[in-house]
Amino acid sequence: MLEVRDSHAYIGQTYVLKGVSLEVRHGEIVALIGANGAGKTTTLSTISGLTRSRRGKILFRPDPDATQRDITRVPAEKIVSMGISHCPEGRQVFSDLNVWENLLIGAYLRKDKQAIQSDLQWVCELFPILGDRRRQSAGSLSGGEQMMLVIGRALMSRPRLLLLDEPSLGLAPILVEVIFEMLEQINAQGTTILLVEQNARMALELAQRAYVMETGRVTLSGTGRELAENEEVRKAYLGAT
Amino acid sequence: MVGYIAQQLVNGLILGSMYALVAIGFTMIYGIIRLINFAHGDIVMIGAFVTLGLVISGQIPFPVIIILVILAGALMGIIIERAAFRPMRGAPQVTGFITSLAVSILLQNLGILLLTAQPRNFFCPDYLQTIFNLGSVSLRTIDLAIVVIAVVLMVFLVLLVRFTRLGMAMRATAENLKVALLMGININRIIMLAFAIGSGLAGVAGMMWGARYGQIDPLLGFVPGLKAFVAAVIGGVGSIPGAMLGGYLLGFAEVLFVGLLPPIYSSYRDAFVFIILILILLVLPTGLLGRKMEEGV
Repeated sequence: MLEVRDSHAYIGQTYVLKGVSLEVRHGEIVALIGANGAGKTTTLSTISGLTRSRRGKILFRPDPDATQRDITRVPAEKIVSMGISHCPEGRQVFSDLNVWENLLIGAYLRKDKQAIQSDLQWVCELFPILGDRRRQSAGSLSGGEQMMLVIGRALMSRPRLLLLDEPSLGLAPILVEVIFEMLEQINAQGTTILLVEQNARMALELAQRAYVMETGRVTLSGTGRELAENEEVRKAYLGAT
Repeated sequence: MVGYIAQQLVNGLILGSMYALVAIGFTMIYGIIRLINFAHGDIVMIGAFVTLGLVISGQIPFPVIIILVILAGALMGIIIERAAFRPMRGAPQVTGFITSLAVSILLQNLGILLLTAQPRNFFCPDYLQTIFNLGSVSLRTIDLAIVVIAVVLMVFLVLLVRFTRLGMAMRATAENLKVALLMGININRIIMLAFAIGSGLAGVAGMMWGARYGQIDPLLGFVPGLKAFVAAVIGGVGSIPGAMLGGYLLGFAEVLFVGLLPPIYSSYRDAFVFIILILILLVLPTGLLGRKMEEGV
């Protein structure tokens, strides 16, 4: 579905991605773990077009029988209509807009009014609290509710691939459980997920496959279980002694 | 005395309407690209001259003139954004600020070159000069028109921003440009639209300015630009209702200051305006309706 080939990228003057290659297959949940500053967030933003990679290729095929397209140079505002939705780090809801408007703006490019209505219903079934608070300004929601809103908003564009950046950041463990269960459910309903996480334990439990990043490169990859049992990973990211 | 105060309040309403219209553009542009646009006042000047040109050129009905002036202002705003500000996008805030000063100087000197620095009498069609009395308050038709046009335009704008898909996209873009991009919103179009709307309103304010003061020259944009800046800051930069509120407050305050204090103080009106600004900012650093500063941890 998604193939990142030898991607090199800079943030300002800093050389952040030093040749990242990874692959996401249809229907998977893939996790990208690693320490702060390893380039996980930058990897996501080169895919969604927020950061331009200097070298390398990013290829995307929305469905198994669709043609593969080179999206390396596609600007961010076009990417979403191709079927990739990016939830950036830190629960960035539009706090001046109410909950309903936040969801509607997720479907900004869509013209199919009826399908938008049924998707709104679907999102409210996934996250009932969003329906209850539809008239409330998004800024007044709690952290967990904002996270749900951000995921719901991303789903409103009907993505084939969902890019999630640190959904667990700053949330109580019980809420993280809830969010991860939701991700599993969203994935089961047909959305492929590429997940960046600091919480390596939960990410490796959830993901079918995972990549470990260190200073701008992918250093390890394998199934979630393989990596969870890998000695180095256990030492570095799972706190094993 | 009551009649005198009523007259002053009406004058404040008229002045405030003009300040509010100019301040809206100021605040919209700041809200979306964080640009302090000192060339904004010069659109008022352009609006005034376009109106004069249209009035002189013949029998164009007044409502058509208004529409043409709005369009002229909007077009000017779009041109300025494309030519001057878009190439500076992403540069530090100071760069944009200096660019806007350059645009302002350019427009003023272009005005002097093409129209000479000589003030010109602003013609107002006779039917707009009719004076009528409401109790002890006397008004010209144009004064009434200024207030009505300003209020109608502001209501339209608020409805647009509040209740349309485009308005939602504008609010989203103003709050978070990066995430707005991720939603598929065409940022360049939204920025262009903010310049077009803001400059259209400033253009119409130019028509009002000319009609109110009777004389126009290529440097007239400086004062409304500065006052609108103050109004926008008082209201909370970035907030459209704030700009409206700030504009009217400033209009009333200025008129009452000049009207109620002995005449020798009236030349201090601008100093007074800035004292108000400082006092309000001391108490409310983000203005009356501005967004609260993010709290530090």
